[in-house]
Amino acid sequence: MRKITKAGGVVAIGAAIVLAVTGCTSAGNSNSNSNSNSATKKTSLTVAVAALPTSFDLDGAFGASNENYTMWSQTQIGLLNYKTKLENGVVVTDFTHFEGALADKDNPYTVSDDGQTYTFHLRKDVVSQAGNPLTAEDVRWSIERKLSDGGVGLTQVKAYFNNPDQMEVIDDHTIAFHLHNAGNDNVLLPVLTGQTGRIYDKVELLKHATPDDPWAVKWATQNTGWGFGPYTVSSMTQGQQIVLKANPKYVLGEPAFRTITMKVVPDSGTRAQLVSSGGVDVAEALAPADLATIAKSPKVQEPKVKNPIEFIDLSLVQNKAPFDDKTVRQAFFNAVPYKEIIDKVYSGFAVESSGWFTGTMNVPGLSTKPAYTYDVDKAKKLLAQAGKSSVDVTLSVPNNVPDVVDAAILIGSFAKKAGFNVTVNQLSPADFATGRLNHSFQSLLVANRVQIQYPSFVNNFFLPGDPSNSGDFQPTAEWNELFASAAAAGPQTSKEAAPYWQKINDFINDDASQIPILYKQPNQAYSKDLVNMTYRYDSTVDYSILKPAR
Amino acid sequence: MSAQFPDQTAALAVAPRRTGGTIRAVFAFVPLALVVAIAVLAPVIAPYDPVTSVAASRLPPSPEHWFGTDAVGMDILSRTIYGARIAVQFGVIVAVLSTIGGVLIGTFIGLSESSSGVLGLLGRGLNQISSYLLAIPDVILGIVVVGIMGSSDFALTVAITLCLVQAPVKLTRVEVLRVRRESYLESAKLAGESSFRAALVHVMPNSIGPAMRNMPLIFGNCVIILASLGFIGIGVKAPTPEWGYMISSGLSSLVLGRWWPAVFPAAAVLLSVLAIAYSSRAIPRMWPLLAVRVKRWNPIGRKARA
Repeated sequence: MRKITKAGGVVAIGAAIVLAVTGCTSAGNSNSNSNSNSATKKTSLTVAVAALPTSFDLDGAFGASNENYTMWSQTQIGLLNYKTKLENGVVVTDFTHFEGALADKDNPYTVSDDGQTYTFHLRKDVVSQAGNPLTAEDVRWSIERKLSDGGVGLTQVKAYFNNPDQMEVIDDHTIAFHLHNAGNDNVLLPVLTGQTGRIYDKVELLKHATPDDPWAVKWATQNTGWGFGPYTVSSMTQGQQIVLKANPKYVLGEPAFRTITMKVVPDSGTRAQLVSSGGVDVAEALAPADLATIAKSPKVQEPKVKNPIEFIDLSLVQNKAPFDDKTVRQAFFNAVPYKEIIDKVYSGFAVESSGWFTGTMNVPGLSTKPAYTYDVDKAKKLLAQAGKSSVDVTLSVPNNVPDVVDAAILIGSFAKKAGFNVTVNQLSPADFATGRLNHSFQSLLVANRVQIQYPSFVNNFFLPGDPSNSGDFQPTAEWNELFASAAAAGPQTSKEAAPYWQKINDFINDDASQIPILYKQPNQAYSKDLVNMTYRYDSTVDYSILKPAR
Repeated sequence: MSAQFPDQTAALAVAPRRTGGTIRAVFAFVPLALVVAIAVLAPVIAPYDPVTSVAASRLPPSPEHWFGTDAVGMDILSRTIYGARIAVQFGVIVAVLSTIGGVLIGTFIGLSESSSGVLGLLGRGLNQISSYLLAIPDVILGIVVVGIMGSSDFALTVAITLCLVQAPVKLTRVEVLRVRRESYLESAKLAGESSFRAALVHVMPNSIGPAMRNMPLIFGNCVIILASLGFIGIGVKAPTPEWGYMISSGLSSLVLGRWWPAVFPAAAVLLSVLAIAYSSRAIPRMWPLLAVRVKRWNPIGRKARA
């Protein structure tokens, strides 16, 4: 009797899923109608997201998820913004040019003759979301907070401000940064521009500080209204939706869409179906196969860029057998089916990788040849050189990113021809993050991005002990010498310096520890009723610049 | 967790006395045999290796790939066939372990729970624990056990066995409570047989019927629980062809028209569970015949009778 009941239960669940999906579709269509009826006065957006953010504060709880990045960049802003350029209908970040955000629009900063002091001039009459005026003290305190919290994501900041005394408040709207190591490898401006450079409302945050939490980190992870960004959080229903309201006093002008309702739709296929049917205006975090399926939908537009910066990072951990042997690592990279992964898993929504240095970095003449190609014979030969014919590998992946899981499965399928017996270890996001922080994996596959597209910033992924150093690379004398030579060769985008960056790229590829195996295209889809699709340093949608198409 | 079983008298009443009835009873096992045959013959009948990418991804059903291909280009027909192998492997192991464990624990509880002292306390305690575990939904219990032990085939086996062992425990306990009132036990005791020997020779063989008849139910339930755990991502490791994981990973594309990655393994779960359920209905008719043969063959029983 019991099994009959359960079998019936399976059928009932299946029917329920179909009904639910049909219900979603119907609801979506009805929304679509109402949306199109009110298209002329549209001031609100509905977005389908995979999950809600886990923290509103980068400093307090670093968690590099799409949702967190979105929330940080929509509620906060820094001294500078990257300039942008329009490419095929997509507003793309120009990583080499800056403009004032909280800093003055026409004269954001000046640099001393010796390149050691950057003086920023703040805009006047800027107020925070809480209504407090922006001052140079807010800037100084914000940087000091990043240094004091010990947040794992802020090693970039520490590289430039290892001492709060390096900051000098000159007056209410002027602050100087005295650097100890400015030079050709200077990435101060990008550090102050992206996620790491957000400036906070000191007065508001200090209202919520306690003796145990002097920087109000605990409060800030769960509350907004202490930044200067385009939106504040109006409400959040855990597990269901979050509503953002435009900041009418936003320094760059109130966004066109005053209300953004982000609804949680955990399934990628359903999110894709919703945007293609007009049920939502934007769908985030879509699986490549779903992007491909709805690409020709009459209601949908998808951003594609020439030089994507988000990548799939394969790390073979150097201090764990069998990958403590460089030859085995090289063999494994020769056993990865790059083209198959791009074709089968990413449905063409990805490009081959030549290594860590992307076209966006604007280093002239860098090789675009793939770092590795699938070559079973070479892999076998290298394994034989290492004295092995068969190697067991556990490849850990987060189970909430289907394309990464599928890529790992495909690697396992093809690598066995070379002698690698790959077990795909699917972990919950929390377990995966813990294992990554603890450096307990033998190998791992994860989506990542270099938010600061400067050649020298690549070093940030190879710092001993840093969570981004997934392959546990230990800098060698040769490595240090290569970086020093590149830094001394001139500006990073110069022809003179280019050969040195090429050598570093070759060194990393040859070391075969942590290499991007492909670069993926943006994973969002937009309604065709919108303009200003974005491709940013953090790969998130910039809702503050989205506008109705008509 | 409930199980329906007729008592020995009822079973004997419906026992096939004619050849036609026996044949019908034997034929009832065909669906189960079919599932087992698919599992055993998977390497012969599957057209492709189930864990190798053999074609382009997400191909719809075609003459080359009858069930289409999945997100990484693996043949879904081959994976569905091999899925039966995984289900049967787990089903057989869990059914045997649960039944053996259930019979032993149930016998112990039945014999000890009414006695005083430590054994009585232990028997009553085990009975209570069994009742509590019975009240917890299988999948929840499975999640907890796998969460504690970590994801592995061993952990899954333990988790599912823990879910399903409770039925044979309760069935055997009830039978033992009935059998222990039989007069031949009193006779054995007067003849000087030890309690342990009486339990082994007289109580257990006469109490295992319901638990044995419950075995196919455990098998079927194991298939469902395994698929459920695979569906929520804590089953066997990918890319092992397990039906629940296949349904889960294919479900996302269902709303976009790619139905085949989820529908075929879902149909496999449904059909195999129905097949097992159908065949298990023949057990009550076959059990008396089998029991008679088992008792004749049982060397301990022969010795005792001698």
